Amino acid sequence: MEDRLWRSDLTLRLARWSLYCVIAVVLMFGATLAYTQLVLEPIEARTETLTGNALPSVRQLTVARDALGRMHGAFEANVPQRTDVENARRDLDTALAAYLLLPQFPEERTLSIKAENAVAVLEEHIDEALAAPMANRESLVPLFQNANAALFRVELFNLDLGVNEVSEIVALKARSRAVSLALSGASLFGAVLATWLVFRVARRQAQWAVEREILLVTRATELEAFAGRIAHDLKGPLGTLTLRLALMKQRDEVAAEKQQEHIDKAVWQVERIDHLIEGLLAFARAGANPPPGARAQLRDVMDEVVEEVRPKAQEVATELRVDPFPPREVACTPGALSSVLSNLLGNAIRYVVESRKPVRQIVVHVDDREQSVRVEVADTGPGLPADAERHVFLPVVRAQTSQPGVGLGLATVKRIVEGFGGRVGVRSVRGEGSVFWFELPKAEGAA
Amino acid sequence: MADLLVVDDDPDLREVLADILGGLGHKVRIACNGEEGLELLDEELPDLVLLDVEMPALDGPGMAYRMLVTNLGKEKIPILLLSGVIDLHLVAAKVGTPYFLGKPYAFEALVPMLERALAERTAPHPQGELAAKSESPPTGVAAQRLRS
Repeated sequence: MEDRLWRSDLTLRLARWSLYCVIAVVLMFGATLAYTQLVLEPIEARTETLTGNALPSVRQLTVARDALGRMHGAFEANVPQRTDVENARRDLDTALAAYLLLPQFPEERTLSIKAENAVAVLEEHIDEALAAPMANRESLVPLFQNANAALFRVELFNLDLGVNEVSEIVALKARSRAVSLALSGASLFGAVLATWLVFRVARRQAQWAVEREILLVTRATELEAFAGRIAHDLKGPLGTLTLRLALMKQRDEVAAEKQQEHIDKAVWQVERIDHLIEGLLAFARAGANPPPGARAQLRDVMDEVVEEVRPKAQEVATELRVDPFPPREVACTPGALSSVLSNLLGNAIRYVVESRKPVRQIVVHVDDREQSVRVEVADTGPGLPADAERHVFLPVVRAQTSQPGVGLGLATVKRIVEGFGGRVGVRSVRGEGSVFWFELPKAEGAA
Repeated sequence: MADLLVVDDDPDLREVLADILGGLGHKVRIACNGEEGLELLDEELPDLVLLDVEMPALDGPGMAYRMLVTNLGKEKIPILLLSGVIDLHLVAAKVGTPYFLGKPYAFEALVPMLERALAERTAPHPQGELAAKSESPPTGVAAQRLRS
């Protein structure tokens, strides 16, 4: 029973831990999702800056600088080609306008204004130069250089911005990958652990189901055998009683003395049946619902029981001796302890007469242990057959004997002792004798 | 008048049966177990054995088996099983005897059964386990095995 309770407790703990694991897995999964969202937001913002601002800006500014270069090239020819200049100028204006439509950072705004102004100044002088083709074109060179430099600074700013954004994105991705890996790993571990725990719980439940089934079948079989034995033991005296009554009925002419003998023996059979029923009741009630905090003084109960059974021992010329022992309190009611002792001593007296030894002896020895008290009842009886030791405490299993007894005494002892948290046992040598023993826990606070 | 052997471990029942059967005019011998029953068989073969099933030392089916294997006329003696064991008819079937009465039986049931057994004198024809075992000696648990 204790073992079953312990295993039940363990399974409950396993089930609780598997629930914790499932909760942890769900939480970690939620955390992974939340963290992914948290990290994606800045990555998306930076990607937007890169693709929607920095890179298009670089593209338009590159186109603008290219147009500026072509314009400068056209002016460096001996006779400037007006068409080339105007085409280049259109491209420059288009590219610059496209760039200015893009969103700009505050630091970029200053640079873009400068570039816009430099280009405006250049275009103003270009208009003049185109109006007077023979004018000094050398004066345009610094203006070209100035516009190119201004555009280059804006382009460089956007390139730096792009590189910076890319670096941030790479760093964010690396960090999020590590965190995601850690969370996913923990989730996986939790899931595996939860699965394992659930498997263990399920396996235990399955084992219990099988064990319960076996236990039920075993108990049903034992109960059937037990009922059969009881029926047999009751039918024996009933059969004799029936025949004896029939005999009395048939021979009413027999002497009163003989009739009295029949009546006495019929009464004895009824008492035998009653004794068996009493034994059954004692067995059924033995060890059931032991009161908590029960205690009994072993020496007092021992003295009472020994005094009660000593005459029976003397009747069969058997020495009954109790080895001296200090007063000890055990966790058992005095009534139950008395029943255990009288059953064991009665059993020993019944069987010791079958001994072929010249001296018949029963010795009670008390062994004081750390947590318990052990009582041994040794007899010089015939001993038990080798296989009987395993079954002798089962209900209605008597060693082969001509001695009377309902066969429930030892089973009752076992139920009482185990009901109070103790244990019973026997060691026996065929032809030498037996030692029946029981151990009971010491009463609370007893030394 | 018939020669009857009563084998039962209940001394009171032995006494009552001896009284009843003696009153009917039969010669009655009594034994307290199978071993003692076999010893009495060696002295003189009875007309019928009234046999209990569960007894110390040697049980009823065990004694029936010994009677069968000795093959000295004992195997021809009819057996009337008298017992309170459950499924006595199964034990009787394995011992191979048609005569059995479950305890508690009435006087009115015992007498006709006794008369029938003495009139028919059908010898046991064991079946199954009891007939098959030829090497291992019978033990006290034979009845339990027979009932299983």
